[in-house]
Amino acid sequence: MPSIEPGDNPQAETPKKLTVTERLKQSEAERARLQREVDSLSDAALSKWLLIAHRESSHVAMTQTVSWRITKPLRQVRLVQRKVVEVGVVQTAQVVVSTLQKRRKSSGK
Amino acid sequence: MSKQTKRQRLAILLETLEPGANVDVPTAQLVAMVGKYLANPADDVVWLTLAVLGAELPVRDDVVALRRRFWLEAPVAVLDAVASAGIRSSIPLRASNRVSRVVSDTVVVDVHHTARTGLATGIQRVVRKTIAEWTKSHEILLVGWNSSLTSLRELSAKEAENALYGTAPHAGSDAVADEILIPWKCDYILPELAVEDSRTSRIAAMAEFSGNRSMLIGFDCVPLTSAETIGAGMGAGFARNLVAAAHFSKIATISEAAASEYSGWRMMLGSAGLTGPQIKSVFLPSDAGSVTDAQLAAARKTLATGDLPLVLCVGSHEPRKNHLAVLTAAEVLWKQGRQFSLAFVGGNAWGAEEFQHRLAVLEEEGRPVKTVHAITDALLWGGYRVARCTVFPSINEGFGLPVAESLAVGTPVVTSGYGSMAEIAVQGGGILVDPRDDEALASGMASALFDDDVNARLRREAAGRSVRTWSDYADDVWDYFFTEA
Amino acid sequence: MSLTVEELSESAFARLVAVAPHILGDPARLPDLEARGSGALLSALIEEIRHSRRNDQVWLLSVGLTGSFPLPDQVRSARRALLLADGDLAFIDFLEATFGLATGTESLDVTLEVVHRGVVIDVDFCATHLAHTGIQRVVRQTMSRWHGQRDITLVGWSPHGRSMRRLNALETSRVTEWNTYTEPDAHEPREEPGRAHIVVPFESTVVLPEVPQPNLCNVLASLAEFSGNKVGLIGYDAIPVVSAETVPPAETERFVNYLSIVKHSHLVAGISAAATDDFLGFSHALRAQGLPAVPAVEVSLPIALPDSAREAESAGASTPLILCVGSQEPRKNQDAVLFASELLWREGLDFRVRFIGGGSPWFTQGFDQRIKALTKKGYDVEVWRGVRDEALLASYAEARFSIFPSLHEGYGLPVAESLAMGVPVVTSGYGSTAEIAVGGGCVLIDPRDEMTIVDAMRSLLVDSVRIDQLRSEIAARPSRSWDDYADELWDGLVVPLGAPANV
Repeated sequence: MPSIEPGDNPQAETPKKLTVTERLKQSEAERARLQREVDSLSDAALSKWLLIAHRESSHVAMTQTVSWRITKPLRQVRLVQRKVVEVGVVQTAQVVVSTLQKRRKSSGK
Repeated sequence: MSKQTKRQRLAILLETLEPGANVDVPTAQLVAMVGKYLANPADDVVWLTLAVLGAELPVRDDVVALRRRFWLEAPVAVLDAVASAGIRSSIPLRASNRVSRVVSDTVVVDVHHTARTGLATGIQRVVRKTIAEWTKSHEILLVGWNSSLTSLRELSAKEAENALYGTAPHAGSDAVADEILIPWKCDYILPELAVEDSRTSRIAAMAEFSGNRSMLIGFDCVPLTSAETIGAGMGAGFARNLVAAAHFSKIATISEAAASEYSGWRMMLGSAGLTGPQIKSVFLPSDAGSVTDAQLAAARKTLATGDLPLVLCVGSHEPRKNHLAVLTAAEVLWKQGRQFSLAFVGGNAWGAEEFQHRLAVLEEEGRPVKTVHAITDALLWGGYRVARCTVFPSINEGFGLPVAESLAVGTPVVTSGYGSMAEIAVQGGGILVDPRDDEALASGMASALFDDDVNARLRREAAGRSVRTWSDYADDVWDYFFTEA
Repeated sequence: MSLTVEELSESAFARLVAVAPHILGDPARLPDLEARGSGALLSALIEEIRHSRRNDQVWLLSVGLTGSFPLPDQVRSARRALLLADGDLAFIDFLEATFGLATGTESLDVTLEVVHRGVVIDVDFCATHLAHTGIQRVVRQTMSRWHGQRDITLVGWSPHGRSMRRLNALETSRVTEWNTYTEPDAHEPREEPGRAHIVVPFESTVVLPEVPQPNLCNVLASLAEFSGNKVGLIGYDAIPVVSAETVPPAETERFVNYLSIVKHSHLVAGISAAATDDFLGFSHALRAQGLPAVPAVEVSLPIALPDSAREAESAGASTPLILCVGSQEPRKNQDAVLFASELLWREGLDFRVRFIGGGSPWFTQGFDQRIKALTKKGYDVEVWRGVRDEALLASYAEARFSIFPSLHEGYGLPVAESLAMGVPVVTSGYGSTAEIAVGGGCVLIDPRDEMTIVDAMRSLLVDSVRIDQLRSEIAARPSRSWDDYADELWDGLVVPLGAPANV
């Protein structure tokens, strides 16, 4: 089956412009969809944060311990992201494993 | 109080008011002879009367009340009543038969706290070094207070040793002589901080009424000017220390910055009709310490990480020292990919929850940061030498020994661009930043750490600084107190 | 009270919408962001302040998100989180940094209004207490004149002291209608609080005419340092520091914490030249910590009658009466008056002494005993406490002179009052009372030298010519009223901080 290139199309003149516009429209729609996804993720994060903050309101003794628990997974993600950039995926996995092993040992106190 | 004690005290009072008087007379005659001095008595005589007859230093209300009694009633009758009952006749007679000794024409140095503490922080170091120098060339009398903080007494040998050298930290628990001291026509120096109300109220009355000339060393007014950085409870004690200081003749502050804090306070005294003391800055000296090669290597091992250049931060973890800014600035640089290690030395932590939290986060992320709490001299002086630079972005200092020490050793310092820290850095060797600006701090640290030209220049500047010793300092304070007008 | 996630989200959204116009560089973006939801809106606001690096916007966004005003450490924490955040994680980092603030003691269900370029005045104590001494008198006299005449927003604080709120009707009356309103019975039903509504000043002038309660010092210091609002204070005195031995330690503690607000403020209006010097002195000390001096200007209190007074003819009294008005405590030096009186009675002079005012039992117990000892000796001395205004005014009408030998004052309202009532006054020859004396009608003494008090009292008791001369001096004094003070305070304190001038 012959590959269809824009330039190949015998009706290239007018469809070329439409295609660019269409492509723009498609990109825009895609961007808007991704944007909505990001927005709804931020909404969810904010709602979760509000709910936990509301529940913790009367009984927070050491704030940082609660904050720690909530954001630990996020910090882990960040650490992994950075490590991946620095040393690559395989070595990162090894670092993560050894960190988890260390933590399991020290949490046994 | 026994009749004998009453008589003894009257005799001492008479001898002080009239040196050479014949005290070998009946008690009633003693009363009459002393009474001559109490018709329209001056304040210092009223104060002395109370101190000797009550065998404790009076507070202001005591002096004012007695002064008024002398106006309203016959002096001899009042004298007799006080001699029999002590200072507060509404309180049951004191069982004590303490002996008091009046000391005259003496330089009395009050080191009550320094004599009984094992602490070796800023203030204690200044006091110890200073009085150790003074004892070499001047006659001074080291004193402390009794356990209820109502009268002065001479220090025991162990207490004096601890005051001078810090080598007997439990001296305060030794039994001490019962004899109390009453200064008369003396110079009274308070080189340490006194905050107990019982003590400050008596020092205040002594300064206001007794005629003794009083001087103090002023460290800072942080409990007044940065109260939010210290714990509750310090403000009132410090303010009452200042109430006493309002009647002193001279304050030698440890920096111009401290002088401006005390001067600001003195400007407030006019509302209370007081003039306040003369205030002058006598700059602290800078120690460089010394270490053996072995100690140097040990310091490197403890503080540095691998071969990374070391940033050293000396001082306690309290809000004013601003260690969170150091962590933030370091993190900014690490995120940029900069390679260096950070070590905190000096330990006491107060109000440092967020600092500990952020430190733990950084450690978990594998950042090369260490903290050492138990600090020895070897570690401190070794650390200064091992470091590529030190950092000290304090918000408010009376002096800032770590800045001076770093520069004395020859190690560049990144520190606050105002106040006493800027004063210390004026001869060079420092990078000055706004400590309230994390990025400026990061930039200053980067410059000292990674710009070889800058680092070399700073080291040259530091090496060229003039040396000031504890002997210089002690002499300058003495001259200010005794020689200058 | 347990809220659903919908209620919390809706509440947060409304607050973010309220603060957004003051943070977004381009306000035209707001409708689109609103349509996209709170997550998008918050993200955009965080991005904005990550780039602007403005402290006031960090402060404002913290309030918008959590409904609570952040403390200094919380502002620094949020700021640092944004500095260190890797772009896309700024959102999460900001949430983490403000979590402590959100779990504070306020509810997350508050509504919020921003007062932009306005004048917000914190009268929390006067709004919620019935005390009416020195500071409260100044606040109530001033606010009753500003309220309704000038564009101001009177605020108090929420029960936990972490956000400002408008006053209700009763509170407003306590502040602005003190002389005429009625305090309701305790049994009358109180309004149900309902959903809290907070007031957030931004790019505004915030006036602190009181000395704030201890639990408010930290949050106000943060507002002064970071919120961008211009903070102005009435400066009364520095007695808890300068004369610390005359106040309980807790009061000194409270005052030094108040100073942490002062050092980040923008203008102080001292109630006397002496009070102004107090704050200038404190300002001088600030250079040691790299802070600019806080300007201080004098706006002196007026010579005004007691609040519900009318001037009275002086009554011809048989035995001369010496009046001593004011709270009874060591600093006011009433014992010196007792001493001088006893000495003069022993000289044979005939006169009466009346003390009017209350005090704390730890002092008044002993004081009352000393009074009793004198009355036992046959001397005519008495203490009146809890008197109605009529009794006070009648005493002034009867008095030959009044005496106020205080050791330390910020102003000395009893001196001004006595002069307003036409009665000569013996008072301390330094500080604020000496300033008042410049206008005439006073005899100055050294409160630490009892003999000067004795001499002054003796002179005024025997020398009627001198009394008459003092009364003429008083009549010739230029008058200055609470109306004058209120206007001058507005021009001297509020206008320089950016508010509109007197019309």
